[in-house]
Amino acid sequence: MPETGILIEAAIVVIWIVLILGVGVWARKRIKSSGDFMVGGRAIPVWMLGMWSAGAAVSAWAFFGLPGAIYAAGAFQHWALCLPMMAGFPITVLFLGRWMRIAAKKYNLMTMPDFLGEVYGGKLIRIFAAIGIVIACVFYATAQFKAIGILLSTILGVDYVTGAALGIAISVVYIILGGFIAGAIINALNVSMMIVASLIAVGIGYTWTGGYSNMLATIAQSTGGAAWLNQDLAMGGAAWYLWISWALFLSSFGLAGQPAIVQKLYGIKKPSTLWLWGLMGGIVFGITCPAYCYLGEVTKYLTVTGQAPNIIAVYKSADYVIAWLTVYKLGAEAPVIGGLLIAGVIAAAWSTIDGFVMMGGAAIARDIVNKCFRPNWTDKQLLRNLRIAMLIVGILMVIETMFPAELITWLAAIGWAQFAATLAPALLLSTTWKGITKWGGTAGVFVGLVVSAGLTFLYRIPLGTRVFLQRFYLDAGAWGFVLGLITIIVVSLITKKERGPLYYDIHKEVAAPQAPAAQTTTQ
Amino acid sequence: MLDLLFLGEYAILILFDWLRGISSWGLPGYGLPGTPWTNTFLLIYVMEWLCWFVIPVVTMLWWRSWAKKHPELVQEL
Repeated sequence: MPETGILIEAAIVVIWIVLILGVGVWARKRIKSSGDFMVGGRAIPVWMLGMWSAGAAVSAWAFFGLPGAIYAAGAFQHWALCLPMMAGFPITVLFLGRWMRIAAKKYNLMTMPDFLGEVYGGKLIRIFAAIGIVIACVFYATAQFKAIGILLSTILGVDYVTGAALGIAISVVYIILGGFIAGAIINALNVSMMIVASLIAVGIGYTWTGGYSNMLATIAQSTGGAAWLNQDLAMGGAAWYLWISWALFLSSFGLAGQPAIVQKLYGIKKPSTLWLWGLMGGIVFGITCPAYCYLGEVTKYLTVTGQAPNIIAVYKSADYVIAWLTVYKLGAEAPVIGGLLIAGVIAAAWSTIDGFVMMGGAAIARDIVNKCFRPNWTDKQLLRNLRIAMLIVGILMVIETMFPAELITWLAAIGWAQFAATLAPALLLSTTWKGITKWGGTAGVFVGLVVSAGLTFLYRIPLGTRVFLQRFYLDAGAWGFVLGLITIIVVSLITKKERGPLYYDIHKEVAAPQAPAAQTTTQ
Repeated sequence: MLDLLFLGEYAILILFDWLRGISSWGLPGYGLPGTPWTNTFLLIYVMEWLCWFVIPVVTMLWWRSWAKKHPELVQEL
């Protein structure tokens, strides 16, 4: 039965892959310009983009890495890392969304560095932001292809590198073919799959464990279970620092700095419907992410009751928690549901990878080369070069799969926190504080980028998370976030009041300086 | 029973427990052996309530009504 079950699961995954590639090929005919390719001609229904953004936020990290981390270290991680992200969607609408969307046509905004460049002015802020995006895109994608690699290799019987490369290649192909339009449709399908899979998974988990209270009580009675359920004990007294870092800075406000999620706002058809993006993003994320976190708890229950092996001991990594549960447990007992769950995880990884391929490609071709060095490209040239740059980013991601898993895990630490530290402070201040200046924004983005990357290196290599948090009190990314924010304020206060044109649309009470040409005419 | 509104995504599971006659809040501090109550779990209940209901639902419905009252502010520049 297990082998038949795995075959059924594999068939579901293959059908899903064919369907997704078909949508990519279909959408290719609808791409007429770089605007269609990058933001879907700004005519995509808001519900589709709400689903896509939620899928990108969930990502394989939440569907795969987080259940593994919960299994290994404790349930507290769900509440510290996952839950506050629900708040990130409405926070983004309240602070940033309206301006990003209503200014999009006038300034031809397609990327986050576009927005920063038009508000703060100057090329340097675009370049720093684009560098941060490329670094974080390539390395944060690690968590996604680890998930895809582990699942596809387990279910299709190929090795990890082949599984990961295949998963990434599918995502790169459909997004290069169909761009934003394909991404929106495919992710509406993907996220629907994720919601169905999540709800079914919770139901099955409930029946396996004999109820929620019984599950937690049984885990608590096992050796080490009390510590597993108590965040203070689980993190050796450092949980509060992790909690504050993520709940207050990185998961919630930091979501505003995630280009794969927030850049979708440019594509919304009607600016007045932004509220639905915030609501859908929060609720869809709130249904799906906790469901997979719950599966981490269910697997822990199965292990402490002897119904599952000790995943960490057997597979040498907690990352195999969902792979074991879906392929072996559900493959034997309910293969159709197992297949849906696996497709849900792969869908979540694709939601993020396609966003990263788009962001990384756009950062290279548009934000750095086109905007700073080759402003005379025709739209056709830009569209072609966007596709080439995205292909390069995709190839870089595939090459990354060749590195040993330990190295990949280390590099992935740059990920979400790096995005948040680099971009979120400058984005949030751009609409809320009229004192910002060009050099304040540029310095803030630079400090966020360097501090987050530097401290991540420090805590991953010599210290480790718990020791780092007890010594420095906040996570590396949270330090980048806070210091980036302070830098923007301090440098803005002491530098010349130069700003970009969008600044004067946002802060109408500040008079725009007269253009030099106009001054010459009046003289 | 209305207190369930103060819980988020796992509230429905606790509700199922209650319907089956198991009255527990699930989390430590409510009768689980070896898991003393800590104030951090009070934070969890408050946070779940904020993240599930207040922040997404209340703020976005407020934004919707604000946008209806100020249509000129949600027009393309």
